[in-house]
Amino acid sequence: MTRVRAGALAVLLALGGAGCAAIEPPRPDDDPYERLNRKVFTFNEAIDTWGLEPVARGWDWAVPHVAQRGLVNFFNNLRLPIVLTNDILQGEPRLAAETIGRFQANTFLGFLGFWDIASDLGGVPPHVQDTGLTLGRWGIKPGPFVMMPVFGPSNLRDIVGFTVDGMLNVYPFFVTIPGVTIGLTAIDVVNRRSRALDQVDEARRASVDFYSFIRNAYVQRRWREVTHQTPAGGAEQEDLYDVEIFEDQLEEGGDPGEPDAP
Amino acid sequence: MRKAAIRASRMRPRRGATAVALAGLLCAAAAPAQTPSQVVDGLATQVVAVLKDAQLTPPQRRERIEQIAYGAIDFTTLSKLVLARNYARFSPAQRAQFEAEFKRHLSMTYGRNIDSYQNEKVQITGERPESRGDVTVLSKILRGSASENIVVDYRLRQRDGQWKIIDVIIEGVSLVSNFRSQFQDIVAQGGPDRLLTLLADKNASGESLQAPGAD
Repeated sequence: MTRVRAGALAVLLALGGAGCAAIEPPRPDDDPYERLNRKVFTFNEAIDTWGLEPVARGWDWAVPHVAQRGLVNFFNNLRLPIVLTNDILQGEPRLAAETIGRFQANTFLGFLGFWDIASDLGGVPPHVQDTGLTLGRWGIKPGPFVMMPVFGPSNLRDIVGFTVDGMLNVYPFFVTIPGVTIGLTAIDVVNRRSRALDQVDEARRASVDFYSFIRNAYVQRRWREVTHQTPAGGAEQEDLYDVEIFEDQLEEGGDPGEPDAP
Repeated sequence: MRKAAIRASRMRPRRGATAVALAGLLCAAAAPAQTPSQVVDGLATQVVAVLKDAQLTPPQRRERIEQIAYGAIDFTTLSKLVLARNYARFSPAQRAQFEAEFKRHLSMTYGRNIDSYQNEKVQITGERPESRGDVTVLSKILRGSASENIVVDYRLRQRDGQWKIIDVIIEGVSLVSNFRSQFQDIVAQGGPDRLLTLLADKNASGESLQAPGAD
């Protein structure tokens, strides 16, 4: 345990020391460990294709959608202590109050959290919150992209956050039978996967290189979650919408010859 | 010149087409240009109307939606943005081929969702000016509960006096950036032909392909 913490601290210091200034725009193609990451990705895809996805399809067939949504709500509600801690760490009293209100409403009026009454009746959607975001908002850079075995896309900073999230997860301390925690986690994972069957299918179809698709989507999404900015915000992203630079290149190096006959 | 050739090849003479085209020109001249929000709102309204039309068969529905989308999206600019600096490596013929295959790819992947429409509604939530004279239209897809809504931003650029969509940003993930990431490696390793072959194969099979350079 202490070794994990010391390691985490060292990583954070390294990342923080690298850039305490402004948060830099995302660089979705920066991937120094790409070869290893791709191997891990292939492994993850195999686990999903041969293990998780078939189970999730069975689950989706057997469990009514209302119950699936209820379970997602229930597990989201159990995560609220993690959310609250990070709301506070980020100095966001308004968000923290919202989280406390949500927990009370959903736990006591929403049948232990199975009904997300705060969203459905209150019109207040849950906000994304985890320790990786807190670190990001404290100015810590994401560091290199990492494809974690089993857990999927991440980066150095978010791995530290993910580890701390695990420690902040309080409900297992109240459940004294270890089998229950493992069983609940398994249900949570299978249920969430069953809710995402169509999206994952679509993503696999929509991509020519699924690994790049996932990496880019992860980097873009996390950047927006940390900064609340859309892709147009940063310097690198300005380049994203510039057509002239390519056209200049055409006149210099390209072949602006006559169009060939179709 | 080049563009004119591509456009001309796409226009096949049809009965009554001239009359419709003329009427269209008159309308365009008379009506003031639509604002970016109106363009997105119009797109959403037309698409939802097609989705709700029980008279249409799925293929008809898909064709109508394709037409609506093709009218609202500037595919030439989109292709340039997606290919970025690799654009220079494509010959005019390859560019036209890319544009056609990319269009088909988008239509194939997102066209499948047409049958799973479940009464979602689109709400325009705002508009934001961007650099280069672009405008981003902010919208939400409403799916019953506040926790399940999807945030979609459309970036538009003016072209020949009309606002056209040049990027779609779903939950913070830009389509242009995402495809650019995917295509960069492929073109770097195998050149334009490799990308065109991959896209054509993918479109032909409609199946997921092995990631290139996976090991």
